[in-house]
Amino acid sequence: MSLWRDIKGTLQPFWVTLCNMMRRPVTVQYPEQKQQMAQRYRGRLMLTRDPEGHERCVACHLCSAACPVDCISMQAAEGDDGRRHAAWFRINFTRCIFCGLCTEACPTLAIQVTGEFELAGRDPLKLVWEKDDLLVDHGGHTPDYNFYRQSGVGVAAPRGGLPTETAPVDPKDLMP
Amino acid sequence: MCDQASVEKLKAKFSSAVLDVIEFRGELTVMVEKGRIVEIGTFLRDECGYDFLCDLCGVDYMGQQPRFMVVYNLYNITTKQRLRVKVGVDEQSASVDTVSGIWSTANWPERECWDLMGISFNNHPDLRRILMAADWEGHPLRKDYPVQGPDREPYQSRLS
Amino acid sequence: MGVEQNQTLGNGFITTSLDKLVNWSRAKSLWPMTFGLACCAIEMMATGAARFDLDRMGVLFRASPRQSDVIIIAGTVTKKMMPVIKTVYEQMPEPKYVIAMGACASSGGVFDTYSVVQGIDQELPVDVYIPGCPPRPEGLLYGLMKLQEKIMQERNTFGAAIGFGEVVKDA
Repeated sequence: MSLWRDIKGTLQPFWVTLCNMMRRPVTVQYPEQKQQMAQRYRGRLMLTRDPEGHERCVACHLCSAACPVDCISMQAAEGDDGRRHAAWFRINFTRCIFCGLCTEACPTLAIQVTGEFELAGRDPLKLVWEKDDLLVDHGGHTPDYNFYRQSGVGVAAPRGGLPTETAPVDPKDLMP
Repeated sequence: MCDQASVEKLKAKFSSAVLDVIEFRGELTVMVEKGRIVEIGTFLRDECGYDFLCDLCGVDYMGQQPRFMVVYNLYNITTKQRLRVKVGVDEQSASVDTVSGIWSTANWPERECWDLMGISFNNHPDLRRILMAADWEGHPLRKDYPVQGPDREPYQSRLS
Repeated sequence: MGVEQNQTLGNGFITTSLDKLVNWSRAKSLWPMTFGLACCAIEMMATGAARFDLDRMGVLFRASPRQSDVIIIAGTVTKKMMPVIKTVYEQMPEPKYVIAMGACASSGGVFDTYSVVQGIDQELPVDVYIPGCPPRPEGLLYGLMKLQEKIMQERNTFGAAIGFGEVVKDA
């Protein structure tokens, strides 16, 4: 009885090893093979533009107020048409914790997260990104949204009722 | 639920030392005089059965008199009853007699209280810093201690 | 300038080839110190495990500072911990490198308080900063590749190894 147990105990680990040897490896060959980030992954931040190509950011400071680590700073300015924009906009990525609270605070959906995480660098000052580095040429997750076309529209007409408007967002939908 | 009997016994024995008795949502708090905490602690342990000190902590009520408060949370293991004893401590003479002779578990909480609040405990066997580095200056949990450290500009505000 | 040239073995074909060989062997066998401080250490362990597998890049965790080339500062550095980290760093043999992993080690991160060192670069010469809270395992791998790039760009490593002159580090 004891001998049989000993033989079993000796052979079983080999069997487990053999089973795992036959399995496909789980390793992701990172530099060559990159994982697709989840849709709601919070990586580097970006400043998006509205469909007309203008900057969405109106320099309301809400993102810097929401930021738990105070890594966002900006200076507000006003254009000739009375439209506000950020004169300079700066995010210190060495301090940023990628929590996404700034994107939730943003009323114009200007600041948005990307799936990018390859930010490591040898100079910490190069991780302080200016507005030129952050600004992109597309609308990010919400390509059709334009704050100046949609704000206040629902007061005059029911939400989603205008021909230029998209249907109201379902708040219970988890997808971005 | 509340152990009124022990409080009555305490009042009868130390009528001058018991300053106030507060009952709030089933929790009893007794404010006592600072100088007689060792006597009261011994009485509560021996006569009333409060044989376990759950926690000892310091509170900073800056702007009030007395500024500090040392809170003893007691537990009676036999009857499963709790009692909170509070002692007011002035800023000028921030020291209390140690209760580590009564409940030996008070040793480390008193060290922590001294480390972070600056309330020293007389006759404590080993009053050293416990959480901060040994060469630390100041007591960081005091309300007038700058949150980013004394060597930096005081924190202004979130909005630029 | 002339003094500097005297301190290296020069830029001849043989010396630069030998430098490349030394750099290659150093860069492809980076042995980090097993040293975790906070939540970033969990992500560092995940990087070492099967899915991301640091071993395939020649990165093996060593349990002793005497055997390590690089220290990954993974987590919040309190002022009380700083002397310990300095001791470990000083025990490491040359050449040694420092990676500041995560927001706390890079700049203090969320902990802008009296007890936390606001960036490990106040005390140690950091080579690579990895932002994130904590960084993804791929982020750490990317940082290690950045460090390998840096090591590959060093000059006169062979000369320094045989005791002639100093290593010239490009910024």
